[in-house]
Amino acid sequence: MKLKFTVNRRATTLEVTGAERVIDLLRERLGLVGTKEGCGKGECGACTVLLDGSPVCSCLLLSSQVAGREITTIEGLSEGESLHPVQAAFAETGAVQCGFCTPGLVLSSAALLADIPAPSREQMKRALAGNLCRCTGYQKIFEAVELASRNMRREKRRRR
Amino acid sequence: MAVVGRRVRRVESLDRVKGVGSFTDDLTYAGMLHAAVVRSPVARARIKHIETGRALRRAGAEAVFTFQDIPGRNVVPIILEDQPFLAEEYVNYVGEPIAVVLASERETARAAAKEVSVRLEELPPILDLLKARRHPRVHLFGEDNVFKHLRIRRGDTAAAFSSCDVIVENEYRTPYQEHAYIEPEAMIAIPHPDGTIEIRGSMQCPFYVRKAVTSVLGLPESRVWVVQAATGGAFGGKEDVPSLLACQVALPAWKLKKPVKLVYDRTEDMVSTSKRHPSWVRYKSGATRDGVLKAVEVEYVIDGGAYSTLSPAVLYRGTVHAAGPYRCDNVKVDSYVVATNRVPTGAFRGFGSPQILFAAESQMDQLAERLGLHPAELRRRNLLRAGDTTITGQKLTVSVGLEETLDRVLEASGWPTGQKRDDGVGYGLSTVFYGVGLGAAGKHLARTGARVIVHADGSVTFSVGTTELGQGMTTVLSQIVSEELGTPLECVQMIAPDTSRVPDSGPTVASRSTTMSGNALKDACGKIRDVLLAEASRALRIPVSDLRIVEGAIVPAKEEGPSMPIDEAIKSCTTARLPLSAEGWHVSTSTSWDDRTGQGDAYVTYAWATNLAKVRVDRETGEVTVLKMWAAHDVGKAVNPTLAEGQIEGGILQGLGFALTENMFTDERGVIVNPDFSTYIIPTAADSPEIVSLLVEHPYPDGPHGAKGFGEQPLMGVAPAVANAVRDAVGVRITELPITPEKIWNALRSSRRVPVTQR
Amino acid sequence: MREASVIAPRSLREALRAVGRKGVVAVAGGTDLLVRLHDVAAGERPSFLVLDGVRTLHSIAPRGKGLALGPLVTFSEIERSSLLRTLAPQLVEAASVAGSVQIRNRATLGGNIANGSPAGDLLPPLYVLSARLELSYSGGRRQVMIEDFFKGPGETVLRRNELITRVVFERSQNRGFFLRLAVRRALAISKVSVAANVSLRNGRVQSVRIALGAVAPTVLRASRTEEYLLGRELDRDSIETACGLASGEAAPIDDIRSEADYRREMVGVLLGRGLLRIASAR
Ligand SMILES: Cc1cc2nc3c(=O)[nH]c(=O)nc-3n(C[C@H](O)[C@H](O)[C@H](O)COP(=O)(O)OP(=O)(O)OC[C@H]3O[C@@H](n4cnc5c(N)ncnc54)[C@H](O)[C@@H]3O)c2cc1C
Repeated sequence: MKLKFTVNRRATTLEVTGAERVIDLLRERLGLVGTKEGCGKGECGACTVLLDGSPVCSCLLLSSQVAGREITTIEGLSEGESLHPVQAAFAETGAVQCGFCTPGLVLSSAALLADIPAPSREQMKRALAGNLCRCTGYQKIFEAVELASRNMRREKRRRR
Repeated sequence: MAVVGRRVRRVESLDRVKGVGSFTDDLTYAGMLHAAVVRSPVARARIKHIETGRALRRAGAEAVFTFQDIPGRNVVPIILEDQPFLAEEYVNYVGEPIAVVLASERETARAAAKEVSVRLEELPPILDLLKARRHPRVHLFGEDNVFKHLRIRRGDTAAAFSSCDVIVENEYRTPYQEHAYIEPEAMIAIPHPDGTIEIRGSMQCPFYVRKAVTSVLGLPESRVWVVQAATGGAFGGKEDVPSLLACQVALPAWKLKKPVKLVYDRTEDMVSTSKRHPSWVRYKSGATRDGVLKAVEVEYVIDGGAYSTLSPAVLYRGTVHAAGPYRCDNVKVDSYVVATNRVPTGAFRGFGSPQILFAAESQMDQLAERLGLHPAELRRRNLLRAGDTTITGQKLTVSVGLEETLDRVLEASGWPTGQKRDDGVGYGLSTVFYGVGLGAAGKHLARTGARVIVHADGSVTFSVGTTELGQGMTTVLSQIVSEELGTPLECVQMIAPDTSRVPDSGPTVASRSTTMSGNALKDACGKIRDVLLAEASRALRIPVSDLRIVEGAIVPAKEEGPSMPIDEAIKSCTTARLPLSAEGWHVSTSTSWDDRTGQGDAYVTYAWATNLAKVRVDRETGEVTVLKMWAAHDVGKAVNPTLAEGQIEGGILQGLGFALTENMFTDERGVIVNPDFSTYIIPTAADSPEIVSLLVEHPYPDGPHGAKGFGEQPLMGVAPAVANAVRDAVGVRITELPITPEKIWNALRSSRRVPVTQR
Repeated sequence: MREASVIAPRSLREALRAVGRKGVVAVAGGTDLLVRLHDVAAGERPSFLVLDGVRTLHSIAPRGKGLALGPLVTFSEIERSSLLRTLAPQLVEAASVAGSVQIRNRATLGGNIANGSPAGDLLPPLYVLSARLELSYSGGRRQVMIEDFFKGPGETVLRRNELITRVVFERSQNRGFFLRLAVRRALAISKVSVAANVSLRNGRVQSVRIALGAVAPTVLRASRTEEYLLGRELDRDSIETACGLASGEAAPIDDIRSEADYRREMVGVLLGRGLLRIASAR
């Protein structure tokens, strides 16, 4: 079947069976290897992408399920060389260690901040519980979300 | 100091937040095949026949390799060389590799691997570590199934116990802990037309990998070229295991003359790769009324699984750390690592010490309780200070900041000392130490090389033989190079660890990369500095001894005077065709160990730490909520405090997993029944408590800028702190990890039946 | 070997025509099915009947005094629905503690039911809300009470040619709750759960339904406990007795998540907590 969907703001058409996992489509067909596979069973969240803005595990998603929909991967979060405020904050606070879980955590954090601009720690914990990180202990990730939240709100005020 | 000690941003973090593809599975090569491994489904059997026909008939399947195809030696060279790379006559654990299947697609390779049928004659396995020693019938290793027995004999414990006022004796158990790095094990082999083979993958120890591939393919070291790819967490789990993967791709790549990639599926990874050794400890400690630890007797048994891998070294660390960071004149330790028909266990952050420290620190709290002393006070009366001697007879001279870590934690936490309230909230302490580097057990590996090149434009590249695993080595070493050469950090670039660039530098384990590679880099940079200073001296007409490098310039050490920007000095050297590249080398100060008595200078130096856990225990459900953790670590010098805190925070959460939820179960046939993340329970963001990390700096004179390694230490004392806090909170002592709600509930239930006489 | 293929219907009729075909399996959110198929090679996989595109199966709508939900309603939609928050708080509580954001964004009500796990978190709330399932096949449909739907772990009365097409339930009485225990704070399967739907009149229990999750081969109604509570005041004594009774009604097992004895006792603890909450909310 012909699959039409949007990937990182770009209209994309691919010939697919419809039964492929979206993660394979992204990594193997589109070369978007920022989406990582850590378990293949929806448990670790390394494969998180945004489906119409909401975090989902691309390892449990079939290509036919994204027809007509919009996917954002880590590569599409920022434009060009500039970083999304969440990406910048992750680098700034030391929220990255090995970096394998980072793309998923960045996307989940970005989705959280789009939904709740100034989340509490409890809200962060709930929003990020689906992204396992074995290196950081999450403290600096929480700090990164806080920093990004401050920067994004400041930026918004400035624009007004 | 300009750069060392600063919270500079991790150098590779900009790539990581963008998801730039540099992990092994992100790499592809033209004509690349995928490998999958055929594994033993049973714990112990004789192999009768391996049938590959059906697998080979599957469309897309290319080849199957067994031990018969190995051109070199069929052995994984680590310490004792008892492990075959591919099983020959016997299999000894569930998941043991038997054959490698190649196909054009990963899925095809995995499907074909299931179609290789192996006819087996099952044999009775040993699955219980306590039954392994001197098993009457099953002999897996030597006569007694003991890979290694270590002892410490110091003083006279029997006599000392008779003079003790309180004696506490208990048994402790800890289960497997799985590393659960988020990137599964992964490796690629690329054969080149010039007769060399390139190995790229997720690994801690490129030189181990080279040795393994060299041995299995029967090639000289010069023809095996190993490069570390970005590695998504390791924690010890990528110390020896990547050698297996490397051979699993190197053999087919070599034979078929095609690149081969292998990525373990998560479940395959959890079933077949190393873990923390399960342990059993019998621990007896005695003290006098005045709170002096008089005697300690320990029997420590750990389950090494089917092959010895790194177990002797793991046992060594456990043995040295057996009595905790205390003075004690009478010590008897007997530790054993035994062979069973379970997956070979190996390195994991702490390397045999977290298990024994769980026992040792649980004991300390029980002594304190019996003596009516505050847990902090008992520790203070016994902890090691400069001038003291360890249980192995090592005299400590400098960099002993243990007491300060205790003070800092007590001060920061405001641990209430008054009347205990019955609100289910409790505090638990642990003080621990960590022998830095490989110690006497790994003496022969305690050397490291480095190479630094200063380019004509002033930028610098350097190579080391140790690896970045997420711990921040790249950044810390870049800071050291920047500091030494006065070059801005942005101009310093580390080249991925590569066995063709530096001499064998040993493994990246034992928290040794900062100290070892840092020192080797200092050595190399020193040689370059000499050239730069000599050149500046000539130009400025100031003797070399009166010059120093400060933030990008060569300046007179004393008063005012002419100075020379580093860039200019570099240009000048280039014009004069002077060499601005150098090799560095570092050899650790010597260590020693007497196998009979367990006496000697076990490690070059020690890091020290105090942990405090504040928990709330739900008396009805037994659920533990960790409210807050405090941890102070004497790290010598925090080259980058942000990264050091990252080690503490991450180590604490892994320690909390070990303490509270992580457990791996094997059934009666030796099959691991929970090899995935929905049943092997590691902490999530929602489980992460507030963590206060405190850095204490008692410089270690032989470390770069005073730094000591400590990356493992943050995990080591967490479990006993939690166990002690649970006891403080609700009065039950759990001696077997993990401390589950079920165990607490059962303990509370039985303690309700029997009235508590003494708390 | 057969290439895995996909059927992506746009209408219920199309979907129902496809569902009975040999080698076809319906997929909603895929969070159970694709985990189950993780180790099955593409060539050996069934054909997927992807339900996503059937718009009518996504609705949340009032029906009579209660509600009708399409089976494709996700946990996240349940969590965010203000209608459900007032009319079925138990269901909302259950949906919001399950899995992770990623899972809740995909996992569906229908999938949770059809999967038939005794630990499925939406099931105890559905039991206490007296949910009725509409099962449709090409050319007809039937209604089954949720309690009659399950035969054992993973076993249901759903026929091969049927789909769950609607879940209809009463609105919650004035008081209800869902409580669970799991091995960690998030991303965990329940080791025991309790849902209740209670109405009080003049301080006495006028009606009550209690369901227990993960303590028997299927979700269980605690009928003896319900009987006992009926007409009684919710005070310390009655609650304690009810907890004891409920524990006795559970038939749990030991597994890697927990132990039978513990689970049995926790049924009482959770029920007690929920009932106390109700009692003190008066
Ligand atoms: C990481 C993770 C965490 C989880 N945590 C929880 C948790 O905390 N609590 C919990 O309850 N569950 C949990 N689950 C399980 C799962 O998410 C739920 O059971 C979910 O409701 C399944 O819905 P689905 O739409 O994804 O089902 P699918 O996987 O699409 O389908 C499951 C089964 O139902 C059938 N089916 C689906 N829809 C219909 C229909 N309309 N008619 C007939 N048959 C149908 C399918 O054919 C399949 O057999 C978790 C799963 C994962 C991967």
